[in-house]
Amino acid sequence: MIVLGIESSAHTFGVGIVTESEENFILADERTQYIPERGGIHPRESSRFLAEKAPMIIEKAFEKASLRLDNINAIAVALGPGLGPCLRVGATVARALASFLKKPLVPVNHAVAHVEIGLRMTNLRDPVIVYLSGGNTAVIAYVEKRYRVFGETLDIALGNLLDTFARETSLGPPYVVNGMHVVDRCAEGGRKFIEDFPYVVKGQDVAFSGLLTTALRAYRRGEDIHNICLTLREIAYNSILEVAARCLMHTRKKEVMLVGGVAASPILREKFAKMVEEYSATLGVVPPQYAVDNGVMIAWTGLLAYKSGVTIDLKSAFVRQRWRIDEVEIPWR
Amino acid sequence: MEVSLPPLRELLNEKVLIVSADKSEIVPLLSNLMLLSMGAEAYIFKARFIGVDVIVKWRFPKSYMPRDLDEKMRRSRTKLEAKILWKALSLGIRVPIPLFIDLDAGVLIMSYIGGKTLRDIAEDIPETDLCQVIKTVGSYAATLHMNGIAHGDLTTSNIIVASDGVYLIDFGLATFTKRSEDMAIDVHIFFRSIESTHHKVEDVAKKCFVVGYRQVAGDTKAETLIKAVDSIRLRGRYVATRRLRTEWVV
Repeated sequence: MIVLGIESSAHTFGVGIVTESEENFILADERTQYIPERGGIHPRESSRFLAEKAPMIIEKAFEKASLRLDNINAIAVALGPGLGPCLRVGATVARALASFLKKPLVPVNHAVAHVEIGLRMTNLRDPVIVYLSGGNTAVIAYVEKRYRVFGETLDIALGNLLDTFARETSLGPPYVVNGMHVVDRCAEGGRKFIEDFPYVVKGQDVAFSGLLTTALRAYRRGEDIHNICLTLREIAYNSILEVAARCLMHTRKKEVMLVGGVAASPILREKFAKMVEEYSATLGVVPPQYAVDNGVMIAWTGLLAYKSGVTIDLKSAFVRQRWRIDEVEIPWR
Repeated sequence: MEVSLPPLRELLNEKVLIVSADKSEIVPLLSNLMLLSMGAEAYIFKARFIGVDVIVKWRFPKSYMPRDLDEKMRRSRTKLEAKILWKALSLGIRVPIPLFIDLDAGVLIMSYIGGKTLRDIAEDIPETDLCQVIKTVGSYAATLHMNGIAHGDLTTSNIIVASDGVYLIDFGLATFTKRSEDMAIDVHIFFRSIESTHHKVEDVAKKCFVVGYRQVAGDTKAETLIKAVDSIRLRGRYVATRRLRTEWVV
């Protein structure tokens, strides 16, 4: 079975083609990323970019896989969550392909896809999933046919916190240089912790907006930027570690998986490695290439879903900007 | 299992002389240390402390945290927890009695409460009993809130049903606060712990909680609180009902 997957939820247009085979299951992995000249992602600008690149990326993917269009068995597409205008680009392309080729269309939840490709890559069985990216901060665990959100951010996401701080203090963009976030790098020069930065863990949830405000206020007050970065980072990372540790204890699972764009941070990874050691658990980190948005994860999840009989009628294949991970039934587990 | 960890070893070696009317005896300060559980931030032991059963909570150093930040946090959390336990006791709420604290080591010793957690028995006891227990929890929550305390982790695992009443435990995340937001978060956490682990009794549990809360806080405060809880729920990522806000509704 061969499934094509299309990802376009934010800044990446990705097309992946996968098969069921144990090894080399990825036949094609093509992607292109919208990088704004300044500021954050503007949904309209990003979607325009994605729409321009879409045909070329799809063509490249088929070329790479040495397949003809009608060689594939199904088309999977990320219908949410994400930015509406961007999601619609992928959805339109997918519906068009499915209708033209008369192949079934498989709806995929972007967050579920991050988890599934992570499991495929790390060979973990049933981990506590720590999903950290620009738009998401959640600690997730599989319980009874769903990936359930154990704890999440009540306001902004971790990646959002780091990027916004970097932007406001002219540390970025680009936010990630040589695999390291600019805030991580800036924190290396930090010598002391600044008092009274809020550490917000509410039960199992975290919140970062107050931390961002406090950090920016300290910056404007003229505190040393390295000390601010250090305090900001330690507080933000450790609050997530605390929630993850709590989830480990609560669910009695023995594995932790780090996924999402921010999971690439070597500092964060090191902290998690120490934490899981304390709880005699194992850590799996999804390789950066597949931790960020890509088409392969959509194709792979689409393949799992299609095998369990999940398809969607073209007429009702609308995008869902707010499609929570815990709304999705997982019939293949 | 028998354990003796570095900061507790000193306490284990200490002896106290107890003088009473007819005799005097020397007993160990702390003995029979048994590990009960390991939480996200602390080890919980059961032990004997000068002749009474106690819980020893040791906030262990976190290898993944920078040392000074870790020490500062363990110190302030231990101190705050003991303070809040005292305050709660003085308000007539059943909580463990803090008996001993060592801030440098991050150790808090408090009285042991025998009983079962609500988490374990919620679905086994008759509905009327469950309602009574949860009503009490609601009234405790209201009392704490009226006095500027938020529990911070009000889940069914932190409620103990003992022979002499309902106890609240684990004030590790509790804070002194005046913000109604923090109070609403308490209730949100309680509701979510009911939803995620006791789905069968969800309706009765929520209803009884609100009844108990209302008895202490009054109608107006209870209504405002419920509204605040609803608004917190909408704040999670991608909540579907929030979509309405982005549509043009006349």
